[in-house]
Amino acid sequence: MRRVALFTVLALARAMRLYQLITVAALALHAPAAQAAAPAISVLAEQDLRFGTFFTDTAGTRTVSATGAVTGSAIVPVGTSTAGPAQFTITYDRGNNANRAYDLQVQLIITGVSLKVGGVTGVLSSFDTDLPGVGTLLPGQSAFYTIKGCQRQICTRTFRVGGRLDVTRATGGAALALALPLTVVLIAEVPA
Amino acid sequence: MIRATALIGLLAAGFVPAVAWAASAQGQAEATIIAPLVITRLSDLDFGTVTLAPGTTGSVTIDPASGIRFGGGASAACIAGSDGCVLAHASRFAVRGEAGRNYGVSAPAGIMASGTLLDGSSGTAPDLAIASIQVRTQSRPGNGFSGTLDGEGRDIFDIGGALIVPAGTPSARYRAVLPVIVTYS
Repeated sequence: MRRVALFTVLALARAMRLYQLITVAALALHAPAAQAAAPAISVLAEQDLRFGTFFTDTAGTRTVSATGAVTGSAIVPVGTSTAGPAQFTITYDRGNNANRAYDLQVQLIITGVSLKVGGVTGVLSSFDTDLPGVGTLLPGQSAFYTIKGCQRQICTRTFRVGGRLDVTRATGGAALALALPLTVVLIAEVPA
Repeated sequence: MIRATALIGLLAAGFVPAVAWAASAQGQAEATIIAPLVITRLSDLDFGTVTLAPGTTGSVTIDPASGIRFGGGASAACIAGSDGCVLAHASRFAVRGEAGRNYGVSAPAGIMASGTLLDGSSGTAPDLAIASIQVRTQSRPGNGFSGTLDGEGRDIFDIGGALIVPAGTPSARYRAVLPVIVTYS
């Protein structure tokens, strides 16, 4: 369908000025897209970032890496609570079944927040992922990643996110549930 | 020529479209921070003033649940309530922390008490053993070294033990340090 439309553009080109060509070509290129399913990208939060249960005197830090390594400073873990990274899955639907290998260039943005509950304040920072080549991310900072080797209509990539939690405690304890918004921007679908 | 170049450029863009869609997911990070435990000593473990019948071995046992027991040739040196009579009693501690949390008490099974002679020489008496140290929490009296903080994050526990007094023990004043550690469990 797209090829027919382009031939139409070429035939018209002989008789029209350049600005007219641009308009017509844009319309012709847009027409097939309206007939196929539109590409779509989505991201799903599958697992929370879990820092577990611990106590601290006045201030402490706990870090959970994307690989699950847990470290802490000025905190004491309590009980058998498990700590672990968050998990997200990006899904891209290219909108057609063309059997053509492609890569996806995406931009990731993780927004950390702080939260105060009673006399306890928690601040998220220094995110890391198990995506190769993506280093530590500060809240709001973006990273670029290429999902390679996509072939089918649906292409997915699951990855994990770790982070650092800084806690200050004035009084008592608290159960902190901090929002961890992840935004994925599809930059381009590139032929592999 | 210019027109052809422009057209080819548009066509190439059509085969490899540049796209820019975004999606977001609301993840969550969670942690439970609890207040540290604070332990306050309310009273010491005290075996009182004990006499030992000549040629015998004796013991004084302070059970946090049932009270004081004298064994062998040991007995109280004075009548409880009389002037100057030190009553034997368990050690008592107050615990404060996160409401509803369980905690555990760590204490040695036994310790040694060192003595200072009362014969005016201020010399050192042979050490006495304090054995069978036991703990009883008010929240879970049947669970030994474990307790649960109440709705206000408080609890109390008592520590007792058995003082072994060998035959021939000289008159002396004995003291020992009993280390107690409380942790969440």
